[in-house]
Amino acid sequence: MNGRGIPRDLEYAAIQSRLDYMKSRDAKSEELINRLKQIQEGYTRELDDFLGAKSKEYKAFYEKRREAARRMQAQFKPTPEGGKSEIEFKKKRLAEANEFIKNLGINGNDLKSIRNKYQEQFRQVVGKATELTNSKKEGLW
Amino acid sequence: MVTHFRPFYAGWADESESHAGDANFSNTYLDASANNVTGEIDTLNRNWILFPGDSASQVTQISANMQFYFQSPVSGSLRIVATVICSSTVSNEPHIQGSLDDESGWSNASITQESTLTMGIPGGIDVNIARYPLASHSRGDDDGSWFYRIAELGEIRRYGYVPNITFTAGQWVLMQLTIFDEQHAWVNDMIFKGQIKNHWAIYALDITGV
Repeated sequence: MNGRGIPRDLEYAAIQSRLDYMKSRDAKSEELINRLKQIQEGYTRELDDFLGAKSKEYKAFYEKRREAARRMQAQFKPTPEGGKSEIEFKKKRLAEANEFIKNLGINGNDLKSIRNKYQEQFRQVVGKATELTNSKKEGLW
Repeated sequence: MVTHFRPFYAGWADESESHAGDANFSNTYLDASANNVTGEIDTLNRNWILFPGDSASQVTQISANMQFYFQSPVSGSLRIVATVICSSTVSNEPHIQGSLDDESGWSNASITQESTLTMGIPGGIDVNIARYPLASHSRGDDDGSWFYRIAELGEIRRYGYVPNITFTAGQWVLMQLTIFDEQHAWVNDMIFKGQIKNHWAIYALDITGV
């Protein structure tokens, strides 16, 4: 028995319950990660099929955009001037992306429907993972 | 009725983060603590997806947990009521916030943010557990920003729970109270910055026979 009057074996039970909780949480987390990876892989495959020969050009465009965003980030100071240049950068970026999709000769709506399909899969997986279970009686007292 | 005040038995925290796809996830930050002496439980869950490529997703989960040991005052079912106080400072109130920035005309996103308080008798996390939503927010394709307070400074709440098992008088019972915050984000061509913050102090635990 410890100083708080709790028998030693119950102390071990409390530690064990913490470990069980973490193990159970880890298992659920790992399952979720695997499902996320599967959905991302599925999306990439379908996008590649959709783009066909244009896939390389599409990926290169995104890589270039990311680099530009990284470079510009340091210039967006929390000042009125910084805010203005960020808005202008975003506008330009949006116009460039729309122009790129148009020039690539693909239907933007088709691209969006592929994205929506995998986004829906993501929602379903998340919904299942966060499904609530209720005890017999609960609520604010 | 038996009432337990702090110090409580033990406090601990855990966290997990997972992501897939193409983006910068390095600004994501998770921090939680549970102090059994003061009864304070804190969580900070920041899920950020910056410089996204075509598609990226990230799930962040964090929990702050307090364990209680008490002897059942009666034989039979028990009602356990936890009194918790929002103990944050004005500038640090529990909240859910986030923003989505559009990156192209075909951008979309799926965001879920949930903050939950759970009470349970351990034996696996799905056994005998009661969940009370503190706040939740879902967001789709449109960009913008949002901010919701979960509680006001000094707000007192009482959460009650009747485990669906019976006890014998004098039996030692281990119970756990958890604040669990999670964010799920899937973005195509969008920057996401999401945050959930909680700061509570557990004041007391009342145990009565039902």
